[in-house]
Amino acid sequence: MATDMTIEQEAAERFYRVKDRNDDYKIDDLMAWLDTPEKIDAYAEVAKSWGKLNSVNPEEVATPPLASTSDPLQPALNVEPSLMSIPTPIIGQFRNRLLGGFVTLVILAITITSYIGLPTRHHANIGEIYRFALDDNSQIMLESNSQVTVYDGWGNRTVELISGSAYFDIVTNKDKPFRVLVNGITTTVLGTQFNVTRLGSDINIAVKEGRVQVENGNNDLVILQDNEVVAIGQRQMLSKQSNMDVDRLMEWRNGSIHFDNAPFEAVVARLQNYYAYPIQFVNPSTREKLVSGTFNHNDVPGFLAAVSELTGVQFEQASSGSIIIH
Amino acid sequence: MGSLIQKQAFYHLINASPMTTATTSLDRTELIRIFREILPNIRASVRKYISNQDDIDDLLHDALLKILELNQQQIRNIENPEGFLYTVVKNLSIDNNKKAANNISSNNIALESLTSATTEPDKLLHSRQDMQILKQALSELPQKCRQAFVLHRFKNMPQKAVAEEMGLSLNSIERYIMKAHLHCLVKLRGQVH
Repeated sequence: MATDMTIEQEAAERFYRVKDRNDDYKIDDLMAWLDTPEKIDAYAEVAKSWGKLNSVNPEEVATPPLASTSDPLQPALNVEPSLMSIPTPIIGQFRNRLLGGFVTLVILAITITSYIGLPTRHHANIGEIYRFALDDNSQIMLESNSQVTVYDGWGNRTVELISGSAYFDIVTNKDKPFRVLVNGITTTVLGTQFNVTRLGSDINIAVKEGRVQVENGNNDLVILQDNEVVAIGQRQMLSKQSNMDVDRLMEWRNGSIHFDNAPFEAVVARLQNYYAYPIQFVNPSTREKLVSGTFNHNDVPGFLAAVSELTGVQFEQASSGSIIIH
Repeated sequence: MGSLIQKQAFYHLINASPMTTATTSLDRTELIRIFREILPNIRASVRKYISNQDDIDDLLHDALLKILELNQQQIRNIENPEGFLYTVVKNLSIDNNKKAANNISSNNIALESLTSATTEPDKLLHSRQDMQILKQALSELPQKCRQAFVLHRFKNMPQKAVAEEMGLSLNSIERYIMKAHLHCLVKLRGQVH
């Protein structure tokens, strides 16, 4: 959830989401969030004040009709008459042309910007899952320590995944395809649920439902459908796998990540997104050990302790917070 | 009829709590933690009464709201938290079925505050004071913000429908509703009962 929200705003947002069913946010998600007395108090207060509104007669709350809906381009168009009304006795037609050209450029710039959309940066801090929606209510969830830039204009929906993992639940719009850009890979969809993970140059795209097209910089192209995954390495080769348990790849949304015989180095790279201090290997051979297990609730030292018990690999946590794996 | 069902719900809630003279160290956070832990089992038990998944979620949320309305003393009186939680949900399920059978609009009671069911004079007074504060708070809101909130809260329009009606984005409507609601909350908080 966004860090700039107060706990009360978060509580209110979750209250509406459970009540209004605008997305797939469920009572289970809410219960998982209600894990501190402060959150519980905030939620109780939000719910109580909502209930108290039953005592108000809505007819007594005046709501005069709204003025007509404003066109987003209207301010730009309004500029033109006022600029044109500047007196022009001396420079005459030249000034008029200059101003006309300037206004045209401004209108063009505004139109292009409106079409593409202004870039908006979103990020999830370490230890948090951040969720937001586009104007059409397409839902995006960012895993801990993940970052995206969003361009959401009237003719374009593009998200650039800078780092980490993101889950997308996209509203269908044939006139406005949705694209995810990640390290030279373009994923294009119409309406679907899918997950994109970036760890350095390793990219993993998993489709839960729908159909997406993945294209690399060499114009190689694969189409992914339900329960299909494409793994992309440094050379940007597209390696498609079918009948995958994609839900497991998206478990981070519920606060857990499952590793199944994954190289320890890759596991640590993923854990690093949940831990603010460096995690380092001393012994290079340890990096290649295969690790299985489920990482839960941001508890990196706890997970490493369990791995240590199973594999015998020793680790230590320095007073600075950094972790050294032997 | 609505008020009768409110009272029944209140009765069920109180009677779901095995009152004893001894109190426990149970607090609200712990009760919520237990609720979270047994939620899958509780959900399974509700399926005996309700089949629709959304209705089940609504009912579990109503149960959560009722639990959040318990005061500390009522929570300390709960000897068997799991049993208590199952009973709250079960009674709500039964009420829900009765309500469906009697074809009563759920909007009247789904989120009704238990306190509003009381007829105690001081609470009625507080309720009237709250109403005045809320009316005042709503009148202080900017026009679009108030309109979005009134359509959603009082006309029961989903946020999406409000967005379409007002020709605004869903994000804007969400922000307006949150702003209006939190404004009311702050005004209510300023009131000392």
